Amino acid sequence: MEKNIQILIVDDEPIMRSLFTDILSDQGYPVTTVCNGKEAEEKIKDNCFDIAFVDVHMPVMDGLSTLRMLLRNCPKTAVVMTDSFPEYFLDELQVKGAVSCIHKPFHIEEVRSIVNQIIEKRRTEGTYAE
Amino acid sequence: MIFKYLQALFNPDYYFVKPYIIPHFAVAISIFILGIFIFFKNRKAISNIYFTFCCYSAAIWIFFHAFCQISNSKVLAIFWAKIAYIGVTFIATNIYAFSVSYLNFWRQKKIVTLAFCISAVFCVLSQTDLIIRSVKKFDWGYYPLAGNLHPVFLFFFVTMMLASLYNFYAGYKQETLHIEKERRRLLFLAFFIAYFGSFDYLPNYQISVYPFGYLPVFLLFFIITYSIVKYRLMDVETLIHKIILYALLSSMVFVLYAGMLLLVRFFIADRIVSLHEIITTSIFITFVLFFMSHLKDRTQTLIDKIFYRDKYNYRKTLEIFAKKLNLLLDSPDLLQTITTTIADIIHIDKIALIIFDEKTGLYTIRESKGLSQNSIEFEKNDPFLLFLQYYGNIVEKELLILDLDFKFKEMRADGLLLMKTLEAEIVIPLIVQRKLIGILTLGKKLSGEGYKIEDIELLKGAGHEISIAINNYLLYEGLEKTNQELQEAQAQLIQSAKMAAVGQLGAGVAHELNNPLGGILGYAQFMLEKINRQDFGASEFKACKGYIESIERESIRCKKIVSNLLKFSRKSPTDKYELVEIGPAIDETLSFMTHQLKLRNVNVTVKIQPDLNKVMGVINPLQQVFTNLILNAQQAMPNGGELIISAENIFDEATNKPSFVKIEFSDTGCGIPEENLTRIFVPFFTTKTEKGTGLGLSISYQIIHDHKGKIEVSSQVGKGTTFTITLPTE
Repeated sequence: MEKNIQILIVDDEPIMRSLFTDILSDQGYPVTTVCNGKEAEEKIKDNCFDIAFVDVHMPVMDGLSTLRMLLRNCPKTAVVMTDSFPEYFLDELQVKGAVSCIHKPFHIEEVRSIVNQIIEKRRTEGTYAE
Repeated sequence: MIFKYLQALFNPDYYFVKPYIIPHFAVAISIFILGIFIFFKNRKAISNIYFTFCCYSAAIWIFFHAFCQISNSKVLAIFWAKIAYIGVTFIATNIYAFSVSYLNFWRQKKIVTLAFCISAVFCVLSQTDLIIRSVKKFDWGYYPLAGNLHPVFLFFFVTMMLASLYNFYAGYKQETLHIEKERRRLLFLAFFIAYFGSFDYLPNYQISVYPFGYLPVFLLFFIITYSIVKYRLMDVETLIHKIILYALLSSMVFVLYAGMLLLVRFFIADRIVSLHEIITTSIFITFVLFFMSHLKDRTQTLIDKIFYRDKYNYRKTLEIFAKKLNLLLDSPDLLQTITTTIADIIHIDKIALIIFDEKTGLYTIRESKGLSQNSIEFEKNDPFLLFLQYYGNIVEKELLILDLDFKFKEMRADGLLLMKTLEAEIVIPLIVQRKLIGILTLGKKLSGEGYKIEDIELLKGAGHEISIAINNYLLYEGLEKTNQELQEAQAQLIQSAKMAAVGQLGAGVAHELNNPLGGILGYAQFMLEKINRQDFGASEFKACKGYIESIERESIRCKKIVSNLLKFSRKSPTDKYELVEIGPAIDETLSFMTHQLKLRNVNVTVKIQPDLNKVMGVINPLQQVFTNLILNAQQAMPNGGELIISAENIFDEATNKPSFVKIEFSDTGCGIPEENLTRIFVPFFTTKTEKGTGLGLSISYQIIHDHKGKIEVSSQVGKGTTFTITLPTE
């Protein structure tokens, strides 16, 4: 059941995309990756994702716009912002609707625990994305 | 009564006109003038006074004896003979007194006084018949006959003569200074010859020998003059030089005038007596008016050639030297050239050039040769140096030791100490605008000879040239220093601007690094976990290989970013020009900027011509320029846009060879208003209220200017801006 969780990675950095994919696939989650917010917008037209890892600094459509776009189109998606900006800035994003923030460079356990926390939360609340 | 007597005395009718008497008068007058000059040259020196006395007594003797000879009456002849003896009785005593005073043989002072007393007695007696009893008419005219006491006087005369000759000889023997020894030798010779005039005593005893005494005296005059010129005896060389010049000139004029007069008289005869003199005089005056200055120059040259033959060559040497100095004005070798050239010309092995250092306030050796110590300094207020500044002439050690006219009295000891320290025989002050900028000191000549007047003359001229050259050199040196300081300040400014640019880049670079670092860290942790798992098998191993490759790739990326940034921010030497490849330089610059450009949705296109020429330059500052222009473009496009960086060869129209590289940075940003276009390269001009230092473009301008290149800007508000850099390829 848990393994049916859909994860989207939005990052312009290939290494980040592949790292997220490797870590999360290893856990058994299907991972979809896109390079920017625009591509993400295309992807969610088909179906919404349960979790989205969104880089703050991206060309074409930056992290904040992508966050807004995701929340607008898929309100149930748990959006995790990733960036190397100071934490207070990420906290601000949390106010704007992100469930969590990861500071680059991060520990892989951080990613896993966030995913687990979200899944746990969803299970208790029973709110999975469609 | 007296007037009548004088009238009779000088009545031409009482005298025979004999041409051979003229030289007598000429010698008498010459020697009289010589006496006057030596007296006025230094009235305080006792030896000068005694020498003047010698001249006067000899002049009186020759002058009045000549009158005696041409008198046509016995009474008149006796009168002149007695007058002449006023001089004769003092000649030997004066010479003796001169020898004592000149040679500083003051132990003979009492003898001098005694001799003067005896001379005075003989002088009085000579007015009676005891010394001159009468006159006798010889073929050449009247001549005095010896009285009863004349032999006694003669004995006194000879004693004094021998005593003074002995003094000069002894003085010559004991002297060690070259120049002074030479003078004493010449003085001995001069007086020895002059005493041949004693043959004039023979006719006193009725031995019919023509009184040629004036000739040895003339020789004395000549030798003394020569030694004055050559060895600066009694310090009157220029005066003598001038006297000879004008004596020669006036005699030439006289001969010419007389010649013309004779010629005119010959042709016109005595028919129109008054007319011929008018014509002659007017022709002569015209002639003089036209040719006098030319004649003077010619005579001057002639005299120079005779008296200063060596100096003539020296003058040429000096000219060559001056030219050499002029060529070297901005060369660091100037000081060395001065010392080596002077050492070569004068033939010396010890030379030192001391120059005043404004910073330390000391006179320091800047260049030296053959000295045992090289780090000698002199205080600014060294009494001798202060004296040199005011004195302005060359000082010779020998003259300093002798100090004939006491002008060195005050700083003699200091001067001698300085010369001893610098092992110098000669000190040449280098003066510019009444300020002593330095001194040049010369040691002993290799030949062992003393310095001659020619040397001193040459050095005087050279000193002048050297002063000017060194002064210019020092000005140039100061300018160089200021220039260097300015360059350093500029380099500092460029560095500051660069650091400001690094600051602006900072955040972008952090992201640039954090992504690969995140990858590296993540994969490393992931792998560690995998390795520790139980089921680590072949497929896991294969996956790990891929992760390690990623780690390696990302590490290299980090390394590049860091090294490029370091390279950029490093303070680099700005003068190491080499061939720079523009393409890689632009790529490196972009390496730590791509991310932030991408974030701002700035699409960068780089178009480098494949066979682009290398440019002559320094890579680091050029990259600074590129960074500034890219940052500017990025800031001009806050909502993203296109940045096209292109580089191509530009052909020189004349040679049709690629001689420039043109690099363009075109953005599609907001553009620069026309009124700002002219000001964007001005330091501190900025439109960015918070971000910019206002230095980026002005420093870019400076850097490109230093590369002998050009940076230009064209812009259209709302459409974009293009910066064009042109750099020479060689």
